[in-house]
Amino acid sequence: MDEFHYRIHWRSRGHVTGAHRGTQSGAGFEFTGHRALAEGGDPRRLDIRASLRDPFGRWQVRVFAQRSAIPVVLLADLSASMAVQGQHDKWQSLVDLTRSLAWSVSRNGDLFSFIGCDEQVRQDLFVPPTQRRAATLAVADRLLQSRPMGRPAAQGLLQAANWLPQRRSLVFLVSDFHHPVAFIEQLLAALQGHDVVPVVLWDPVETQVPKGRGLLRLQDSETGQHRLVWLRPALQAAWRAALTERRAMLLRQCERLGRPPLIIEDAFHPDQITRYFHAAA
Amino acid sequence: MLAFAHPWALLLLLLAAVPWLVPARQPVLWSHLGLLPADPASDRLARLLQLAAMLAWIAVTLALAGPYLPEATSTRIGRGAEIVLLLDRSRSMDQKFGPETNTLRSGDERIDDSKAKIAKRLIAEFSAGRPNDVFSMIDFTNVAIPTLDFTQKQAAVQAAIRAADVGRGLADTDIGHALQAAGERFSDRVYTGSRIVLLVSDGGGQIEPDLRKYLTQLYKRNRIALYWIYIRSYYSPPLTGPVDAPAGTPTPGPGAAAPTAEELKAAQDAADESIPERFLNKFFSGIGIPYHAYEAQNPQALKNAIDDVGRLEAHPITLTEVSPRRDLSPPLFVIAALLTALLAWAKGMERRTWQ
Repeated sequence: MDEFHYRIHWRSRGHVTGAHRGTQSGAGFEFTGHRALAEGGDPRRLDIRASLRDPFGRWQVRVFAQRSAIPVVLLADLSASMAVQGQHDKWQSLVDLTRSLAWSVSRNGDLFSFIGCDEQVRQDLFVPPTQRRAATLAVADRLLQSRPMGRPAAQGLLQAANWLPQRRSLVFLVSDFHHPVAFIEQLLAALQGHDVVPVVLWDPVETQVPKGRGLLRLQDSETGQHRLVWLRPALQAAWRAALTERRAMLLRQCERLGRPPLIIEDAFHPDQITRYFHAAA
Repeated sequence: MLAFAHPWALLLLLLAAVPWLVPARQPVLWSHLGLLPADPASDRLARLLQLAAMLAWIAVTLALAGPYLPEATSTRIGRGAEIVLLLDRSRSMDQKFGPETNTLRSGDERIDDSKAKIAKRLIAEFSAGRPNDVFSMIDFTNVAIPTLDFTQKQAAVQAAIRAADVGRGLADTDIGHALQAAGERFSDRVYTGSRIVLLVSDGGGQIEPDLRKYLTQLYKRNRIALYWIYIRSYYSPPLTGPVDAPAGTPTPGPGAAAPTAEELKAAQDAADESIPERFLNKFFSGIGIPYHAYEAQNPQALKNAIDDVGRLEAHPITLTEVSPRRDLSPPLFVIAALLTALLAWAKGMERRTWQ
């Protein structure tokens, strides 16, 4: 199973030891200051020089920050548009990403949580923050079995904030972001307290304008609406412009949260995420 | 007024709402239509196609219901006459004019046709030139054969005249009963305008006294004008004028004295009695109806006859026109076909995938 690396640039406030910089003092290599031995410092970290410098002659002990675990949440959009097959299967990409993330998180010693939303938060797929590998790896398999039936929308994403851990978490928001602009704004605002990595699953079919002439009868995967499209150069130009504008809008929205979107337009590969975090550092 | 042959088919009109209610089949599934820019032209095209589908269905349904305008009669005042064409179809009409057939000429063309053919052609020309007249046609030999009731339809008249030429004529000629049949044609008809019986024959016949009386009454009562076009061939006797010695009397020798006026008058009377043509002519002249006979020995006589009838035509006549039932479905089928072709074209332009 393929693993990827992720990192954060904030301090975890968790108690559980892990791989990320934390605020908890303890066994670590990150020196944060001194402390009197009498106040509960670790005698193994006794600092002779600091003790001699102390005007009151107390024994001084070095204090280090402990590396802590963080909750990593996969917040997945399970609406019908995620299951539309284009050149690639977005649903398969989502499953692959889930499996890969669950594995990477457990390898990193972090807590993994899965929240899937269609019109509601899907309780049958919900995994609260845990380090149990059995639970985290199984969710990918269950996800594979539960392709959306009917035409669910993604309204549940707005409630997902209530299901997230209280403390700051790394949230992978996996969606195709095929939602109205207002919805995206609202969603990102609801997730503001967390470190959100917007993972945008797109298919070339969605991001490229159909070539040639003719008529195209389209049906919306979520609303079921029908629309006849008369393909012609004027429309194709407008379409291209609309797609460019949408990409720009998504970038603007995500920038306000501090992280650029990770746009995956081909089949998912874990290295894409690794590269994303390296570029962000 | 508009009526339908199968009104129940109109129930199918309800299905015309289908293009608006039921979405098109086999659309391409698209994750989010919000990605597409708004395009009023496409929407208009979509509505146009729905409208075309609805109209095509309506047109087909209406056509299936079989709309028609029922048969209608209308009367109008025209100028013309009601004419019964009474055409002799006896065997003698199948023969040619005789040795001097060149007596009847049309330009420089020598006429070799039978008398029936020539008569037929002349009548055809005559009726073709008078579209306002109402024609009826009776052929006769030993019986009267009514072939056409009164009609103003030229096509029917011409067809009846053409039909008169089929086959060979019969042996006998009963002109009295033919005239009776022609006269009775008018009996149960409202008097609407000039009435003419146009008798075309190449010979006459005796009429029994009872029938003579009846004919006189009939033609007077019905106010019928009689025109006789007498197709006179070489051996036929003239209708009027002095006669040669009555048949059967020996030819007087060169030394014999010239016949006196009384003798001539007596011979003429005898001829009027014995020669059917002369007899008829005299009979018709005497019964007090408008009557004219034309000896069709030359084209000019025929022309006179036709001109005479043309004058009569100037009288007002009430025409009853029957417009036949009109089937209105063919144009609807055409409309439906055109709309369906449009829809088929649009379907052909449709793409199954985004590629």
